[in-house]
Amino acid sequence: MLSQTDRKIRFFIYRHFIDTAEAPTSTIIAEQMKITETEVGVSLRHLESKHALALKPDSLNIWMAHPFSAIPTPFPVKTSDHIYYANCAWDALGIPALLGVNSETETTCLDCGTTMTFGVQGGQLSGSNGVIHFSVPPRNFWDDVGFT
Amino acid sequence: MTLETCWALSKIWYPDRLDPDWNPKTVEMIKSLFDEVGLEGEFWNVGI
Repeated sequence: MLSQTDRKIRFFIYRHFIDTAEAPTSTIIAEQMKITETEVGVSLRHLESKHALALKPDSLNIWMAHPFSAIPTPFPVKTSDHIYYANCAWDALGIPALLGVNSETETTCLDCGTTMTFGVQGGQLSGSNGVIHFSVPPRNFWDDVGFT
Repeated sequence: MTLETCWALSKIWYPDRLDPDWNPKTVEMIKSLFDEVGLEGEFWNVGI
């Protein structure tokens, strides 16, 4: 169960990603929430334990708040306002689904090396046809979320 | 998973993330969403 603080921080993180295409630091979260960085750290760890986000290894730096990635990935998602980074091909469609916006992602097929462009226009899938390969079944997604 | 199926899943999977009262999905919820877009079989079995 998420606490009220967890909920406020989680929601702030998403708003920050949407507005800036970047993850907020613990310092920014603490300043905005008017709580200590220690409290932020406790909450971030709890949110990670509930699979609400992922932290970079051995740190309190946000790595993923699905579908957003805090670090550049092979799945850039161009919208009218920002270039976001998605964690995977699924998340490259998760971002326009979350935001309700048009998007375009140019990436490379990991199987054949072909450049692929896909996204969403007017609520409809656009661009290349393709198949997404999952190496890990969903029940194991969080065993090693970076690999997934 | 085809991109078409992925888009269908994304539309029902992600919008709740902007709900301030969001909670992690239960395995029952996940199974229901997978069922809705036709993801079946052992690979998509989430354990219920």
